[in-house]
Amino acid sequence: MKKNSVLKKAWTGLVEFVAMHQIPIMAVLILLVIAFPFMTDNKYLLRIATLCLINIVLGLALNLVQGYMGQMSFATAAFWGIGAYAGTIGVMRLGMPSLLGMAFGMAVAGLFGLLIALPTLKLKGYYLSIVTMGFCEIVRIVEMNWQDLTRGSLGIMNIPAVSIFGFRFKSGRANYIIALIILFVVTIFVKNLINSNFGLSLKAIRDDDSAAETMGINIVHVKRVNFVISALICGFVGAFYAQYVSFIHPSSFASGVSQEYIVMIIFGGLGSIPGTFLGCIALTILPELMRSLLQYRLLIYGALMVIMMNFMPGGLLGNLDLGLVRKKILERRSREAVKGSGGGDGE
Amino acid sequence: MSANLVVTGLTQKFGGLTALNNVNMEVNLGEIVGVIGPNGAGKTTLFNVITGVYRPTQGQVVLNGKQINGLKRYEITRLGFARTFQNIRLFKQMTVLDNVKMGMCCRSKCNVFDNLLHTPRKRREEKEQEEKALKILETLNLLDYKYDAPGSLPYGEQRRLEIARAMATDATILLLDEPAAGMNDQETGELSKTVSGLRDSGYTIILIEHDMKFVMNICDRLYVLNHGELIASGTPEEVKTDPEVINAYLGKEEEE
Ligand SMILES: Nc1ncnc2c1ncn2[C@@H]1O[C@H](COP(=O)(O)OP(=O)(O)O)[C@@H](O)[C@H]1O
Ligand SMILES: [Mg+2]
Repeated sequence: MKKNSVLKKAWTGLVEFVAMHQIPIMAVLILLVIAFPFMTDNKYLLRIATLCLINIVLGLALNLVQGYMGQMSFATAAFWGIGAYAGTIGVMRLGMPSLLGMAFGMAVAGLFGLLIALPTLKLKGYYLSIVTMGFCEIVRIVEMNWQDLTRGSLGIMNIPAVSIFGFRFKSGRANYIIALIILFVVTIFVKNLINSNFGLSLKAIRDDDSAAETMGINIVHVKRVNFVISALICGFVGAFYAQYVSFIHPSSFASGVSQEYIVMIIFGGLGSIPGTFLGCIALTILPELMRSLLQYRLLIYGALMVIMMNFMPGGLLGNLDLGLVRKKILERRSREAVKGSGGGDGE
Repeated sequence: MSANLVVTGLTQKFGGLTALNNVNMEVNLGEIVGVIGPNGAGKTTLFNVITGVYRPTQGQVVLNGKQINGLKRYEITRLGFARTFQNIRLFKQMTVLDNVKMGMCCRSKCNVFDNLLHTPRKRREEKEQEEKALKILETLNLLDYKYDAPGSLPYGEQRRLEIARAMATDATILLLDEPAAGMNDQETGELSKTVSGLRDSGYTIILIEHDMKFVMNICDRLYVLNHGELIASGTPEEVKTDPEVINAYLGKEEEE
């Protein structure tokens, strides 16, 4: 019991320290992740790191729907795959330049997001989960069987690498940097969104959608827009992923993959950006460390989920809002300052 | 003074149950109108129909000559109605301040791109909202709780936060569903000051309440419901002496 409270104190202290020194800490972290590819030549390490970045982007997109809007979606892999396939087809069949291919992947995924959102988000509760589960499977089956377009189970090979203004970026290092830029932009967008009126509406819908509507929110509209934004993000990063790995196959985008993202953000923390980072990084690296246990991965994930649900239902950093922690501390300090000057004869 | 809100022939059935039966009501600008009646009389249902939760089986709700029943809930809110809930329904995972700011979202002039890109327009609006929310919290004596979770507040404070959130929607008509429920005498006294203050600052208020002292003190007019029927209306004095009301409702209290 006592040990527990010491741990808790240490944790609170750490969170408060981080909250009060966000800018220098962020600066150091950003420098480190920028420096990372220049400190190693190890292709494998760079690849894992790049996958971490891509997975965080997908985790953030999913967290918009699941963490902030409060509806579980199994469509992450579907939109990611649609982005990958559409982007690739755009580049290889329609002759689009690399960046336009990414935009095309993004747009097609967004369009499918809208198609899902229109009928299902009128309803509450588990409809979205069920529909997206089916959707993910349908997308995989189409990818598998529309041979003319997707080459089915052969997958698409030799996808041209990312190219910007005529420069072709083939190296792992360059792709890491591109992924980092994508992650940076997406993080800023997501942060802006959730700290805006749009984000307040989302959180209110999550907490009590009927009360949110009574407070004047067009909840169906907000939910749809949010879902489409999430799909757009997945689609964009999907198209980038295809150009990065140069080979795509339907099995990369199966519904089991969607579940892994759900596990990642539940583990890290629903409704928390730092939580998404933590969960996605941990559960991208962990399976690599446990390669020999690969066949038990889902079993381990399952056990992990049960443990989390019981002991930390919010995830490691669930709903952690460093901005809020900081405001609270400043408030407390200013109150103490007033008290201190009022009391006078303290020390 | 022109009639602001007119309810005519309102009937609300739930299957075989008639929760409201041919209810007529008029509320004028700047009034405090009380709706009283025993439990299950249909008071909350009346609020639910006015705010668009249910579409009435029959009858009309008209605001300034415009029929509003049939509109969506959020559209009705944007016309200037806001309510509190009898069973407190705050947004539990949001701070007290965010609960109030959330009420302002329906008036936001920013689109998704403003929010996504944090444009100057968005930043300006955000600043205005923050100031306004703090002012509202101050009016309702909740400022010290601004960064707390609503669930951690005492009961009376939660009820006041419901009012704060409703005010944030820029409403002109506030519908308060049992705002004094669970409050002690002192808190109720403060609440009646707050509510009269709101009326003085221009709000029209319709409130449901069981606390007779509170209602009699504060309301300009009362409507009495029993089993979904309007059995009396008028000033507190008139209603107090109405034999049917005494029989249906006040009777129990006068006995002691
Ligand atoms: N959504 C509903 N479905 C069925 N019955 C309802 C519903 N809402 C209210 N009622 C019934 O209508 C009657 C009036 O309820 P209500 O308006 O909540 O009364 P009160 O005057 O206590 O606020 C009650 O008998 C209640 O059970
Ligand atoms: Mg009621």
